[in-house]
Amino acid sequence: MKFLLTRAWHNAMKSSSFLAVVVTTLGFSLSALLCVLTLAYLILVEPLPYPDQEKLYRVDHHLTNHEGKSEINAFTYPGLVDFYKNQTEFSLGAMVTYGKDVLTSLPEQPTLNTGYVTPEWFQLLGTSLALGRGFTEEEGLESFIPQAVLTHKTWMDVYGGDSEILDKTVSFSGVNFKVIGVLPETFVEPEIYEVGRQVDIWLPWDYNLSSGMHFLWGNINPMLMYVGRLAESDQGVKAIERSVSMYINDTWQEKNAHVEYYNGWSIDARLTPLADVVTGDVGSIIYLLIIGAVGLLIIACANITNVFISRTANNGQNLAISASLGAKPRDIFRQYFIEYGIIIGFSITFALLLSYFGFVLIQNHLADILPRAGELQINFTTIVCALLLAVLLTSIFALFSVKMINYGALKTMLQSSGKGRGVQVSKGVRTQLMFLQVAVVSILIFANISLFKNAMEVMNKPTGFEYQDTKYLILSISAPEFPMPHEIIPVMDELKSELLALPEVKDVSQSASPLSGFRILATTLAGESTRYTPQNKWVGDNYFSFIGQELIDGRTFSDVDIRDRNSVVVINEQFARELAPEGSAVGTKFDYGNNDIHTVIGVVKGVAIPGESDIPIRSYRPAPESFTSLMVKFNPGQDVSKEKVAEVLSEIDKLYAVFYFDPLESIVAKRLFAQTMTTVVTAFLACLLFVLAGVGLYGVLSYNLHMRRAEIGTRMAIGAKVSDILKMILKNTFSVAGFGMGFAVLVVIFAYLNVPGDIAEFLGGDMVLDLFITLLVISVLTFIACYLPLRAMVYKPVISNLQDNQ
Amino acid sequence: MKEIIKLTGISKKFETEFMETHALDSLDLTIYEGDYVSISGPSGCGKSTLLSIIGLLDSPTEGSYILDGEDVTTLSVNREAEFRNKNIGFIFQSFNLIDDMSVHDNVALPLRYSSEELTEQQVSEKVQHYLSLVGLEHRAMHKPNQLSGGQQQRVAIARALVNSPSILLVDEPTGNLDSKSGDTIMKLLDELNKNGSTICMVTHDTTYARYAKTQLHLLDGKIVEQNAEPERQLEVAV
Ligand SMILES: Nc1ncnc2c1ncn2[C@@H]1O[C@H](COP(=O)(O)OP(=O)(O)OP(=O)(O)O)[C@@H](O)[C@H]1O
Ligand SMILES: [Mg+2]
Repeated sequence: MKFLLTRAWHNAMKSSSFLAVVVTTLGFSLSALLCVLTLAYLILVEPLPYPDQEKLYRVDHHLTNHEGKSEINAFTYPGLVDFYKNQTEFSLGAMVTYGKDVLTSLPEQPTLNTGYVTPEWFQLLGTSLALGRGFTEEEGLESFIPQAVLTHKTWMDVYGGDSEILDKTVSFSGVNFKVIGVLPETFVEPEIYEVGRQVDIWLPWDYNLSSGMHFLWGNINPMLMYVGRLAESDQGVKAIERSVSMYINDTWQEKNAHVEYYNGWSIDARLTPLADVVTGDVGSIIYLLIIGAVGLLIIACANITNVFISRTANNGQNLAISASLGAKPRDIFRQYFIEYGIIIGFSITFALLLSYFGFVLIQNHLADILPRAGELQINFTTIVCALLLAVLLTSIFALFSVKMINYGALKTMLQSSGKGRGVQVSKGVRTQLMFLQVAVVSILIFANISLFKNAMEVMNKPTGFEYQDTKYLILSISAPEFPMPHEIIPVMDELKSELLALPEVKDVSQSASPLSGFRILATTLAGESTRYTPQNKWVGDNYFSFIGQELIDGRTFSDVDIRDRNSVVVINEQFARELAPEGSAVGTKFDYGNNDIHTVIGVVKGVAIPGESDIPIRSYRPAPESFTSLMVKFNPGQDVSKEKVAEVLSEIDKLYAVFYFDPLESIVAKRLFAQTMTTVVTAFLACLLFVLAGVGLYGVLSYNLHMRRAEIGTRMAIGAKVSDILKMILKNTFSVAGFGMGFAVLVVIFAYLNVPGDIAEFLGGDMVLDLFITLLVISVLTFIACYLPLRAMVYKPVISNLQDNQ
Repeated sequence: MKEIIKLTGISKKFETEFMETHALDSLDLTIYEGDYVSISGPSGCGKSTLLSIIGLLDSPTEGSYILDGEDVTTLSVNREAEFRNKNIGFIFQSFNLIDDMSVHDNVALPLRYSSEELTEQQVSEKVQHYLSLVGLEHRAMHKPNQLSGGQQQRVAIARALVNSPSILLVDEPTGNLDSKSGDTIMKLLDELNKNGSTICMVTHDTTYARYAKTQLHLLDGKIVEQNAEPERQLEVAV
């Protein structure tokens, strides 16, 4: 056994380039698979880390209108509170809702994600605190005791791990909360509202931002949630769902009996397991990821098989000797198994190392897309998967190598001066391997080039407006009562002039940013019934010149339009073309409902928001002077910090805080996140594939040449010139590679003709060019993979190709 | 008598990781037109090495080589290929036929690489001619592995002759054959020599070596003995 091991170790280490090829190829593809499998296990199988997690449910309110059409999934505020107070099915239940608010007690005034909960929340999650305590009965519903629980991250990032944090005060919207506890680092928040949205600070329910709706039985809000632990009961979930529905519906009907609008509406309650809520509909993505990763591994294995084949073939002589000394096929399998086990062991170790970095990467970049990404780490599942894969791959490769050996021919190989016929892959199999290799690689490289180009195109599409050196500022007002417009206007005026007075600031525009959303408004032409649903934005008088959006007809807003809130509107050329295909759209009158008539005074060039492929119809209306969002443009390369703006603002009025102050460029980056990811991933994949394809083709082709060594030697002895040999080999190689490429082209065309419209559209465009590039790349690759080993062969003395062993 | 091969001071050194082998050591050898030379000697004495240098399959470390009146010691790869094609016919111990080509195509191969342009008709005629010379005209469309060892070696001989080379180089032609087939091959070579072919043959077999007019003995890379059979030499001289 010791002999076997040392021999295997010696063999495995013999060729460092072979080892490097196998370890990198397998390492990368295995790590992709390990990451995906760990993620899949976490999302699909692993229970949530809460006590009795299988009994935790979220109650959803499901409204159905009088026509039986389902409307929306959301609670009314009083409906939720009523259910919380009176329900009997849950042994423990909490109300939860979310918000975002400015922490005004710190000079940096960070905007934090807030969570508002009743005390049962931490009990449900089985949380023990790192410092202090969580909410108790004391902070229960309608107690109005302003206290706060910080997450570990907020404690560290915002308060630098301050050991005296307890009893300190944090202020939001004019209320001072006393810190009573800090959550442990290990606390895992169930992201039940939105994947990737993590609460920074927990506050008592009473202070939630929707509490103004507490008496409105007609208003619903999707952010209001109820999560509870089911009481012990003989009833099934469906039965409980029915009785909950009955209670909620009856109460709601009673409260809304006088509202004619809701006649015939009804509510169903749905109980969704918390695990499903957290996982969401990510299941299909996971399966796709698994398929992708397995695909990658298969290509990698196909490649490596080639490398292993040539290796086994080269070791033919050694095998023959072992056989003549009495080694049985079983012994040879064992020898290979140990040898490959060592090599694959290295690959798996490398893969685990890569997975570790993969997890860090996923946590940093994909936490907004993948649920539970925060819990990812190398765990038992990863290790078990790694070991299983290692054993599986080792067995497959060892088996393949043994299958290659024609055991009967091995012994005669020693006696005669045959050309190692005991160990070889038949010409047919070699041809098939090469065909497959070329076909698969062509298809994948084509797909990558298309995806990559598409993503690049979207990313590099000119926006048609300027967003460099510009930040978007949104204010929040932390007054118990929202101020009246005439109170806000002087503050905004002063803020604008103070900002303009700063040397770094070039210009200010009291407008919504070109990147932030538009509101869709329904409108008709005045006196007609033709309906339009343009996207609408409020902008200041200098908006269009500020962002460099070109005016092509009429005029833009004047300061008078803004001051008097004139009923005028500027539309984009897409809208104008719909309204007046021939002449000018200026002068068209719109009715925004209730005889709110606006006149079109100008037409601007349409601009696309990054990530948008078509420009929708849009209208722009004068922003009110009390509008609390601003764009601030700086002199090139200059900047003003959020703290500086907060300082300026607090000198004007303490009630105002900076809610948001970030560069437009970072909004663009966020909007392009998916494209950026696609570009990075496809570029990475393309490189990986390219390397894999190169290695694979090289493996097959050099093995092919190796098998034809004697033939090439004979031809040269007879008088074939180097160019004759080159021509012959290239012709042979390209006739097979050509079939592979042809097959790939057929597959692409078939896919193009048979897939649903939107993918076809994506494939279309420059498909011919992409195909051409792909085929060119593959041809060059094939040529190199063929020429390099051939050159090494034909420039040696001819006799060396005629000698038997090497 | 015309000198076909003239080797002067030929040495061949193989350098491997662990040692240096002097396969040939300042060897001189001249082969005349119409001669039949046999080279024998113990295993590893350099017989095959000498044959590959004569056949331009390998180049000597030292010395000069004149083939058919032309210095071929240093030639470009392509010129070497042309020389092999035109002047040399090889017959190997392991036949070295190309498995997936028919007998006809194997024999025609040297013509395909020849600088002389021949029509298909001419190629066929030549191939047919040499196949009938070795008695295999009826096997033209067979694949090599459908033939016996002796038949394969005869195909190889036909292939070696098809371009009418100045010399036939033969390395252990009977090594892979039973004695009956071996005899047939030796008789064939003898006949070829009688009809004017120059032959240089490496063999272990002393009985076969006696077919040759000039018998050389090689030891440690040097020619140690040379005995030409007088009566045969006379025959040639006449
Ligand atoms: N490519 C090579 N590399 C290193 N050494 C070589 C090589 N070819 C031959 N030799 C060495 O040169 C010497 C002569 O070899 P050669 O093949 O000419 O012997 P031979 O007389 O033909 O022997 P045999 O009768 O066994 O065929 C041997 O010692 C051999 O080990
Ligand atoms: Mg020899």
